[in-house]
Amino acid sequence: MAQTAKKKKIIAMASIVLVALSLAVLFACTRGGWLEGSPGKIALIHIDGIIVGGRGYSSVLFDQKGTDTVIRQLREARLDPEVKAVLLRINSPGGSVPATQEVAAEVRRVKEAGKPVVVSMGDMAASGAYWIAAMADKIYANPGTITGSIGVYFPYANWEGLYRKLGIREEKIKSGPHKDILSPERPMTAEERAIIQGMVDAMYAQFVAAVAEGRKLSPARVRELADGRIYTGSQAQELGLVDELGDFYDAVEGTAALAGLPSRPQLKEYGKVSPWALLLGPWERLSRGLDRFLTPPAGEETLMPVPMAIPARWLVPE
Amino acid sequence: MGDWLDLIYDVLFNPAAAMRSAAASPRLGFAGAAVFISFGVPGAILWLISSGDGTLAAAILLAALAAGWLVWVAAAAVFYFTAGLLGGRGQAAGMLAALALAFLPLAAATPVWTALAISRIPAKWLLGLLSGAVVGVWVLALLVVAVREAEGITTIRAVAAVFFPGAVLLAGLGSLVFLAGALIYCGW
Repeated sequence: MAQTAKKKKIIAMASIVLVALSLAVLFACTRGGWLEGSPGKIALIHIDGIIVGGRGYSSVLFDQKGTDTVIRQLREARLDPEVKAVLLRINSPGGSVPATQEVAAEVRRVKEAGKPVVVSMGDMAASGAYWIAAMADKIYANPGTITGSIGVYFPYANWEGLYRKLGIREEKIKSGPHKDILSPERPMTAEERAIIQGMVDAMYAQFVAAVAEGRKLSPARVRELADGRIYTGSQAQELGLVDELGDFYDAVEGTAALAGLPSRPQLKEYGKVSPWALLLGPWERLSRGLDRFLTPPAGEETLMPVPMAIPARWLVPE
Repeated sequence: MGDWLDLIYDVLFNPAAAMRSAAASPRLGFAGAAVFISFGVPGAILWLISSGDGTLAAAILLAALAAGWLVWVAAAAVFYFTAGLLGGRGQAAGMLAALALAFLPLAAATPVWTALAISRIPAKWLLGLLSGAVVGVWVLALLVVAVREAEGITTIRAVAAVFFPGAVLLAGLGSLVFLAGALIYCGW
């Protein structure tokens, strides 16, 4: 009996020692750097639809993501030590110039952090979307991808005739002569046209400079290509606007090679809803939804049109 | 010292006797220490594996300990209630003491998890999942034994007492997921 009790104690003590020893071994291995770590992942970030600044707009029938989401995802990927490279999957006709510039600046920061950025173009990566793509280390496009459209325009509609037919005449008390520039109920003056043209030219110059820097082309060469026309992926490759023709998985392999990762790398997809996010996310979404309902986002009621880096024919009227 | 060494041996090799003994003479200090070890050791493993980020590691360890205490007290309260509904006649302190021992396999599996962490075999994530599942089933079985011995009810009733709250919780979570899905679909 006493022998059995002693045996039990020995076994229990041995179990405790084994657990403690295991912890000590694990501690030694981690401190010694002997644990086999993950080779790293590629962050997959999607840029879909028209590029607009802010938080975007959502309703039952319409969901337009704002660039705040993409910028946050790029920042998270930059700060995540597990992420070794970023793959941008672009399917966008472009968008507003400032929103594009914000995303492009974040892409540049990712590169400055030593993480290669690769772009995979889907159906379309035109205008502002090409601006962002140009910042990448490597661009993949399908032969039929629609890209290019390097240029800027300012949308303006003159509804003067319609207003006259409806009997509407708008009176304004202005603080300055140009405060109601681009007002739709009167024609633009020559002076106003010159002001807007100056702005468009300045933004066009910024676009050209960004493409020249990103694609390592001379500004003069970019200006030759940047008359606003669109190109197919094949044409863009011949002109030096795209590096490789290939699909998404070619881009994945290309990104892995650039980052020194093994073939068939692990992807960390941003914006993908995990079961945990599905379970816990609604509270955040609920509060965000209430916030949006109670306080309209800044800029939603802006009267000024936004300068667009987007082919005009891709703008879908709401 | 001899007492608790016997108890640890019995939890691993003779759980019914261990739970009966713990419930009959509940020692809550020892029970608290058992929960601390049961959740602290796996927390320490996670801490060591993720030691690249100090803040994250400390958060994991603290979360594991806090979750351990919370799970222990909450499970004891819920099982005490459900077992009572099924004819249980034990003491709350006995239930706490017995349940604390049921989590010990979490710490006992440390050598396996350490071996997996330092090994370089390709399917170690699968083995990790399998070992996790085995430990999970072991803990569940010990929970049933703990409730049975602490409350003096049959095994069938103990199984019902342990799984009924979980089933209710799952149904609640299912409803929540359904509601969340509907809200997301509606654009919230």
